[in-house]
Amino acid sequence: MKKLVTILVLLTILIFLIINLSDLQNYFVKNSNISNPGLLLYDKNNVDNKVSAGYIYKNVDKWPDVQKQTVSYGTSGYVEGSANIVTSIVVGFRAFDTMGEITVLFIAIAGVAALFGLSKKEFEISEEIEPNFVLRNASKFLLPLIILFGLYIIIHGHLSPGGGFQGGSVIATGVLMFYLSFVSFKENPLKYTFIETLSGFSYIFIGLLSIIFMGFFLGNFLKTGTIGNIISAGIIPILYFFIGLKVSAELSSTLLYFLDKE
Amino acid sequence: MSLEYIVANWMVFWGPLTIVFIGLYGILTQKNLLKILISIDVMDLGVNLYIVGVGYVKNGIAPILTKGMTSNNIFVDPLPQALVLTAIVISLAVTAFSLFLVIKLYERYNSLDISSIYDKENTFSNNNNEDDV
Repeated sequence: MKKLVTILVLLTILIFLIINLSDLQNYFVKNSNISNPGLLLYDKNNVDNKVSAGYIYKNVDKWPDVQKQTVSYGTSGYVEGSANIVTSIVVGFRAFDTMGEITVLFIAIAGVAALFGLSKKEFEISEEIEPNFVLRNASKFLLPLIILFGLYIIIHGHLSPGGGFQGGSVIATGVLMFYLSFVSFKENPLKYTFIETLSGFSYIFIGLLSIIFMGFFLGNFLKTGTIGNIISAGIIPILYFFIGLKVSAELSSTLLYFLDKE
Repeated sequence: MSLEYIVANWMVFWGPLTIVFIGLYGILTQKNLLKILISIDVMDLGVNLYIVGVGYVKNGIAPILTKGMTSNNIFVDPLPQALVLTAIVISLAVTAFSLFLVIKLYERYNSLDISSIYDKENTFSNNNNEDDV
């Protein structure tokens, strides 16, 4: 009966949304050429009209002329040297916003750590349970490879899909596998907190250095180099490396709290 | 109404909306706290899919400069992707914190069912009131 009522309520909301959001669809369609009924939603979704155009063409100053500018792999001398444009936006254009993002992550982990102090310690994992032979031996072999792969993703964040957040998550999965395969393995979370604090302060320190060199916070004050090289894009790979360290340390310490190991 | 138009509408608009409503249905009907958390994550996924889909450009490719790229290649809009990257990380942080809260609730009430937690909370408060009197 309750499920029936829920479904009825959801259907009512759905019908309401369909009636009202059909106007929203018209918003996308409104500017397009009606005589061409192809993909109405996308036909006018032109990146040249958006803020992202400046980053796709790697030219923010001469924005009206963006269509004449071309940028390609292996050239240099543009505002940002990062080949991955999403990285250009996340760590270049919105670097201050990313600082807030890692602060949110830090606050969530700090909340977990604060709640951990209230634990009654009734549900500890028994140390008598021995994990599987395959898990124990395979994790010894796989842990370095997983960490290497995570570092690869972090370091190539400005060239290929990936970056600090993704690589940090990969490293944290390796640490989780190590915890699961060695039940008696314990670690002090303060070590992770040290790495986390150090990388967070380095991020802000680079931003403050930019005030000295460029006059504003988190500007790209290094040479951008050639697009496609590992050493390019100025401070973007350095910032992403610190973000990767911070995310991996935070997620690893969270896993530590969840597994009730101190 | 060509087939291409219908598929694109589903991909960008109705598909994510359906996923959001599946999550909403889960939040409203399930009583297990873990299942409610999973439903919230499913809603998150729907919203993220919608935001990424809005940035799609016809015949667009991933916004990464690679070797051998010609000027005919069109990128999809990278700005919604960057926004979704932020949203995913924040949803991860919120999920981790709420999972820990669920663990604490289980330690206190020995149950994940919200109605039984509600009953136990009521009995606790009633007992406390009697003690006070």
